[in-house]
Amino acid sequence: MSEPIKLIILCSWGATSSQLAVRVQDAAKKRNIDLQADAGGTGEFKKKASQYTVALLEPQVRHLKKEVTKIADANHIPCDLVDQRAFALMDGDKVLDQVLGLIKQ
Amino acid sequence: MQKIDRIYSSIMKQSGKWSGGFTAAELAAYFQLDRSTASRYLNSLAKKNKLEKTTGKPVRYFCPTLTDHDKNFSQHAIHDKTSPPASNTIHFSEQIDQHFIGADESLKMVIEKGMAALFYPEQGLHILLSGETGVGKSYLAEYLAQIAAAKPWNRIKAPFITFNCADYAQNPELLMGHIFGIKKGAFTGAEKNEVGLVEQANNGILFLDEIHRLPPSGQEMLFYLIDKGLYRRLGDTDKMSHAKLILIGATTETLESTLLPTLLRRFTLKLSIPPLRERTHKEREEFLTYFLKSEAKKMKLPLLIEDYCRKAFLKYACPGNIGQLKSDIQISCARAFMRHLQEGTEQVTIQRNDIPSQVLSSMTRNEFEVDHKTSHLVTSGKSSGPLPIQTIYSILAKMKKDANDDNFASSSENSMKTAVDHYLEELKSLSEKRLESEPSWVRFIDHDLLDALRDSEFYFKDDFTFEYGSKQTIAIGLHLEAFRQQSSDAPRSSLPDLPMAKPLYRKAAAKLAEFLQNRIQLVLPASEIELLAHLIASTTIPENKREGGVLVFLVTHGRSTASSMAEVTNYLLGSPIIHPVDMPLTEATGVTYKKVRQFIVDQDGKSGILMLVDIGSLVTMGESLSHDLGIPIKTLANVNMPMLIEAGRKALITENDLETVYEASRQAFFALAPKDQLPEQPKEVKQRLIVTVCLTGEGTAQLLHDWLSEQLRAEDNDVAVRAIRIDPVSHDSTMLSTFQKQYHLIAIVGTVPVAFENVPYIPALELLRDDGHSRLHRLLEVTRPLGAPYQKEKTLNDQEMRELAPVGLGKIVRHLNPVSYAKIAFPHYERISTFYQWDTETKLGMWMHLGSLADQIIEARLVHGPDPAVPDELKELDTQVTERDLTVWAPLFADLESQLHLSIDLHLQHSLIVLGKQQKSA
Repeated sequence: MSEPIKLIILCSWGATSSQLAVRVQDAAKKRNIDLQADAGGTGEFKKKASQYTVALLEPQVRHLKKEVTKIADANHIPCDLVDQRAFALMDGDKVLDQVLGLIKQ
Repeated sequence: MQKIDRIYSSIMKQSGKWSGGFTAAELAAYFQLDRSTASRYLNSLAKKNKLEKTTGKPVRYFCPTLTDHDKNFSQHAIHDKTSPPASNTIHFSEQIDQHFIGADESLKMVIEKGMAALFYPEQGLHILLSGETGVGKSYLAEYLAQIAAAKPWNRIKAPFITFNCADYAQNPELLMGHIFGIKKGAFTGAEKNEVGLVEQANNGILFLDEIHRLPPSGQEMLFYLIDKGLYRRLGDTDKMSHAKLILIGATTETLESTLLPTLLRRFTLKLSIPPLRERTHKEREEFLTYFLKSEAKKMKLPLLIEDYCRKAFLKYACPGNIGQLKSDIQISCARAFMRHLQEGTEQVTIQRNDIPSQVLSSMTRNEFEVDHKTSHLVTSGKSSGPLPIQTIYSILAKMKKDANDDNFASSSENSMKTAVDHYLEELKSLSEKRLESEPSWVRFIDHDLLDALRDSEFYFKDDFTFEYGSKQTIAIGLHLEAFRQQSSDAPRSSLPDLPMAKPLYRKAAAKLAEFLQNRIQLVLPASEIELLAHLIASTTIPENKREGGVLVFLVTHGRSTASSMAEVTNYLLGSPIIHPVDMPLTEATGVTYKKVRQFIVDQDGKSGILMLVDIGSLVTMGESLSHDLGIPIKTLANVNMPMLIEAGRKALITENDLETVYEASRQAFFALAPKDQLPEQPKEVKQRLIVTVCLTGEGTAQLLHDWLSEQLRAEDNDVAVRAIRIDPVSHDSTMLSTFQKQYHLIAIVGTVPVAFENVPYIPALELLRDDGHSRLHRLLEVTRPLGAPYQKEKTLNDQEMRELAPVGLGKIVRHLNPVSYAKIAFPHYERISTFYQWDTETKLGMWMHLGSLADQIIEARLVHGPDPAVPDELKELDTQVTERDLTVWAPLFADLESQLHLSIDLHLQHSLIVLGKQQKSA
């Protein structure tokens, strides 16, 4: 069996990201996808980046994208901003699609 | 053969060049190798004792047994094209011993003007000679210098230096060094000062043949030299050298397209030398006699030529001009001499079989019957001393003699043949240059037919009242070739009845048929002659006679892509139906637009225009033009030859409307090619990426990243920019391969040159120059996706955000009513986001964030727990919260408190403000 997908959703407060992570986790469960979604701040991510398969940033920490991208590149993991509509709607299913798309590339 | 062996044999063949020994650097420059590779080869050759080497630095290598081997070798070579470039200093005797053919006739004016220029007061004028290959440009230059030197009032004391720029054309550096001189230490291996041609020609004349082969930088140095009398040796940074000379340049190319306009203007006198076909008959006879005589001199035997052969030499179309005439005569003489050796005759006689076929093609069988009996003696002039090179005749005679002494072995006959073959091969390679300019499809036509048709051009050009040239003869040739093959393979299928062509063309066809029958015994039935008339008529559509009909424009990137493609198509279709517009890379789209627009206006394209284009902005140009001019214009992108030909074919018929031409051309896109040779259907479009690089990935790369992100235009908003570090040692970056998988990598920009697959590298300096980023713009333009471009999810607009966000927030909060929160907060967000210049996405993030935070505060109060903590990262930041910030945010906090009874702790307020302030810099 292949490794589980390890996703981290980043914001600076952990407030919305943990909620969103739960939703993505649920969506994955429904689709029978082996995924583990975490939420975290960027400081944490810096330390543990290598553990993850993919990273997403929430819009309110968009200013950190440059920094996060650099860390992600260094660890060869894809990263992107959470799709705006999916974020606005807290749509775990759609974010899951985005995650799968990023990994495939 | 391995590369090392090839290089070795090449060194041995030209050991004369290397007689002074050579270093690895020199070898590397000559063979265009990497220096370390060259050094490795040399060491390995020295180990095998194939080369000798010196001790000390730099190490020099020598060819062993150099002396004898080398001498023999160079004596045998008559024309060694690969021999190292050499410039000649020619010292003239007081007297001019040659008569210059045409000096009183075709070239009278040219020579008079040339003389006048050389003797023009003060310094003389610079001269540019032009003319087809083989017309005698260098010969004329030499002649001019010679008579100039002989005049008693001559002021030009110094030598006449000649050089052919083509000799070093593959290595511009060396070429420039040779002309302008090299300063010691200019590069590794330049261990002494080298005197350049300019210095040698000081106070005299420098003749540069094939001057168009000089790179633009060299041309610039030349005109600076002409203007100021100053130049700089290669590697000389502090000193300019002085020289005063007359420059004579020569070129076979069109002047305007190959020389820098600035240099072109410096040549006060431009002389064009006529091709052989425009010289008088008498001159041609003189040339023939002159060349025969000089061959006779070399043979030291009586040389005779049959009348028939003489006539052939005087008549045949000789596109390579005097040069070709000379080599054809030499080939004939060599063959005749060979026969003389085998048959043991007293004299050498040039007969029909000795002559190259292209020379014979001008003669009819009749003429052969009448003339081949009589031959004339070529009176050879007095032999004037020993010749500088060993001729083929003496080589052969010696071989023959050796063989006789040796009881004549059959092998010697073979080696004699080999020697002659080798000789002929060399001569041929000299005359074959002219074939390069001929379109390759003439190869489909057999030589006899092709030659006959070529000559027919010559004979009938003036006879026919319409234009008759290669355009028609190629078409006729292809057809007749098919006709011949068909008639020999199988019973001929009969031709359909044709309506009669115009009398003009029928008469021409009859004449041509008669000519072909006489010449190559090709008998054409009446129906074929009728067809021929049609063929001539249809290929002879006079220019500009077309009225109405769809116009086809071909607009593509590149200096001559469009004109070249159009040339082929127009040639095939026999009519200038395709109008090419070239768009050089340096030209702005706006300029091209104006060119095309003017073109359309001039051509009056009322019936509609089909624009065939390649890529980029050209794809949409037609639409803009259509609006602009009110003319129907259709565009097809990714143009290829089948499309172009089909468009041309259909547009030739003026009744076809735009739709018909367009559809036909469109469908031709995949025509003519087998499926497996067609490109794959485009895969999923990847996002485009520009990578910026520097040694740290943070300094310059980051600056470039920010600058580029800012510079990208709206239509390129799909382009991502990434800054990365390039390892200073390996120059390799695995990151790039990672990117390649995910993105369409369009350029690498930075301060460390990176060679990664085919991705162009643009130095940062280039971007900073005035028009610098034009290359990048061009790259962006040509990679811009067509039709369905890659697009990030369409950005959210404000209205949408207001509708969606409360729904999403509703899903994650437990206590807060998202709708009332929205009602209170959104009006405030207008003011705040304007102040901090947030875009919709940031607004959304901040809104959700505050919503979620508010919910957590309410929850904390309900369970009497502590308020949510301020994250460490925000605490660490030294962003200050100012009075101004507070004024902007305060009304929102006030409203939340008064309407939702939600008081937010001051620390949390501050951290929220700081988070919001950060956004501005994103």
